[in-house]
Amino acid sequence: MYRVHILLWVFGDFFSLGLTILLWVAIYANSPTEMIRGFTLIQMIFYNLIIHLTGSITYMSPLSDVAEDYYDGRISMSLIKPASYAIQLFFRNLGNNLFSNLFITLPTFLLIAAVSLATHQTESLAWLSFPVFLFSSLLGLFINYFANFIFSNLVFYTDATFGMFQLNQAIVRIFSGALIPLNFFPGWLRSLAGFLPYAGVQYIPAMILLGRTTGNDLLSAIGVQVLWVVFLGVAAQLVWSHSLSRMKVMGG
Amino acid sequence: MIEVRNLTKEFVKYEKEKGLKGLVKGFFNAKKVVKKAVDNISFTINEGEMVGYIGANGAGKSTTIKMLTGILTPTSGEVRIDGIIPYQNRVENAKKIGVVFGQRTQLWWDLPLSESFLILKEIYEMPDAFYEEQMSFFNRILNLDEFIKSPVRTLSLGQRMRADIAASLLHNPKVLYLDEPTIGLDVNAKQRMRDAIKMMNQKYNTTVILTTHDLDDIAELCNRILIIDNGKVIYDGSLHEIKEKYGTTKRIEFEVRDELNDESLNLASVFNVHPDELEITREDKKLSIVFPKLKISVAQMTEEILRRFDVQDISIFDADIERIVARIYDEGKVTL
Repeated sequence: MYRVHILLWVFGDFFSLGLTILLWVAIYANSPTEMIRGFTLIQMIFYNLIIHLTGSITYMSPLSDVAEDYYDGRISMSLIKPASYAIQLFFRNLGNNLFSNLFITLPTFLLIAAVSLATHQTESLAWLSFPVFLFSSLLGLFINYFANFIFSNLVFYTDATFGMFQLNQAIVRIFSGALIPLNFFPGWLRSLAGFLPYAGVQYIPAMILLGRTTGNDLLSAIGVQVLWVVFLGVAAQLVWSHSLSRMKVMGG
Repeated sequence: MIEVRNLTKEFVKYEKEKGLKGLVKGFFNAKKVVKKAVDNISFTINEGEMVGYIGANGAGKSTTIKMLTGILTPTSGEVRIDGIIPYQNRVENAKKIGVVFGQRTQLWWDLPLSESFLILKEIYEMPDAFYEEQMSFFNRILNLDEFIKSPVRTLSLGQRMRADIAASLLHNPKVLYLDEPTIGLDVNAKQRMRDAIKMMNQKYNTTVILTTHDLDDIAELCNRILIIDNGKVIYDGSLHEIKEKYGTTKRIEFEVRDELNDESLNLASVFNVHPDELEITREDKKLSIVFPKLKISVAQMTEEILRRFDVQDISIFDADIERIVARIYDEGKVTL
């Protein structure tokens, strides 16, 4: 039973990747210029592949857990245990994350290697920056977790979930660069993205691996990520404390 | 050990009118209603006591327990468990408590039971030797070995409850909170649960707070009961005292040969008491009569029924705790 589940998940995931790439092929076919906003078609394909990679490495989705725990009342079972709820949730999600890394990250990585060899585009990726890329992705994971955790606290205040998932997903997808590279955004949107933590989840690591962020820019990008991790970590604690003090637990 | 002072918990509910119009209206301007689930209660429980905490549904029992375990934050008042304020130091308090919520499990659904215990061993940072000792103790009284390798989702209710009680006591908590621990269990299972609880209390002086509707549980385990009604504690004292003062009735069950038809027995006028003071139930060949023992003696009642019916068997009972408590719930107060 689990096997089918995994197969479908992986298949669906790569299928949508394939569609996205096809979309870009079509866009570039209709473009008068070979480069759009600094990306050639092949570079854009790599961008999407790498975003797919970072998406999988940083995969953390506590939102549904929190909603389920709360609605069901089973959050009380987590609260009677001598461990912080945020930490319990982190490790619960880590399981999914490891799974994602096994079934999506690894194949995607192999795919990237294969494509780059096949198209003789081995310089499209800054392979030397790979360790930095991993470190940046790790930071991205924590940013992703904390940001989603903070957002999920809304459940305690609004008693509404479905719309929330959609909203959060949309915001994260757009501002993490998963949809399109952030430099495609018009001025005001680009600035907004700069104020949000999501760029640090996928866009920054992706740019590092693509070799588009180097030297001092690289250092400040990592610095920004670190600051977000710290800031969101503290914010998560505060928000959670407040939610806990106002908690109504469902069920008798 | 457990100090509760002027504890109050209020909930805000938004009332909406019925129907579509009410739904839309409620979206913009819902009426705010404040409900006091727990209303200024105070009590002290000493280490090693086994206390029954009972009340009608909705009286405020679960809300109180949730505040004691640190899940809910009180609106006002104070709680201290072994010196710690539970909702302020949730994690520290959690190390010293065990909880069984009868309706829910704290075990990991998809994993074999043994894994759940191993996880708990880590969570509560138990040394190996201590863990082994506790596991063999619980295996003995609760027969966990039978199903210790099965995933929790495959366990029967009785098995799961036994596992939950072991899980709650594994780390030898100072306080054990039981919320409907024997619900849905058969007679044997209930007995095993009660034995396990009693043994822990005797061996480790575990303080036990039991919330239940099963008054047999209370009778077997608790020497003190607190009755909560509408958020207020209306009785705090021994079970014995309540039985003494409230147990003014006796119940006799007669098994008769004759077919009982609907003819009125007219016992009230025979004994010169008000019909409300008697409770007569007839089912097949069983006739059950509850009567005020101070006004009618057992001998008198028995004699009367023997006179009228061909009696095969007689059973005589003291006042049921159930009846006493039902009366208290009804009256909303205790007059001793």
